[in-house]
Amino acid sequence: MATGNTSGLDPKTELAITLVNAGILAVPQIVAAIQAIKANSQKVAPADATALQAAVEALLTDADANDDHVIQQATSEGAV
Amino acid sequence: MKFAIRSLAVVLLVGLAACSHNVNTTPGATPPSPQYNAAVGSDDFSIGLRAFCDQAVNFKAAINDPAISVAIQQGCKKAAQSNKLASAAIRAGNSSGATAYLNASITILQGLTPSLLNIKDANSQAAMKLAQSSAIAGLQVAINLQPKP
Repeated sequence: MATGNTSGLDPKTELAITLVNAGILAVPQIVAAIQAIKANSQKVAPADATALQAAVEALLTDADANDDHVIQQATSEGAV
Repeated sequence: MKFAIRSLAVVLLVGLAACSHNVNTTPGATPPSPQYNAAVGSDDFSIGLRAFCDQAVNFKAAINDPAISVAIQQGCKKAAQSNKLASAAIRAGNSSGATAYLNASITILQGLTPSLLNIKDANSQAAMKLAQSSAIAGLQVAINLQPKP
């Protein structure tokens, strides 16, 4: 098993991606989500109050966009 | 195959859990903003939920059961609506409200378990349960990031 980590991801996440790439299970959305969450959770809050407020709003706007996508898709798939 | 799927589930969940306490850990950085961390959590959950719900659509043919697919999408819709309310609460600085909506989302996603267990195709069922676990893990990250009163 390779022990190097050239991607910046933790080894277990890298292994998961390797398994998915090997075709064991096709869950690219999950891997992409984990990568996005990892990058998101490692963000550092800006010290400047104005920049901080803008960063908060940007995160919540992105959350709303994802949630709106889910709601619209669910509605078109028959959810009431 | 089952072992491989379970192993994958474990490493994915561990990977997610490893992400959960990394906000603003840079040495010498300014203390984290509670509202910022809460916003990170809400965004993290929305990413995990979107992956779960998109996968349900992508696996629709393999699931081959319209009632199950609709039940999953109804859960997706409710969880997304709950997260939008959580985001609104975070904007308003209402951390207890945000936490309540995020907890409601956990209940909604856990409530999909019977539907997922009724998926006949074994690979689709494993993939959807994995995605459900990942979304719930993302939700737990979000709850952990909410400011404590």
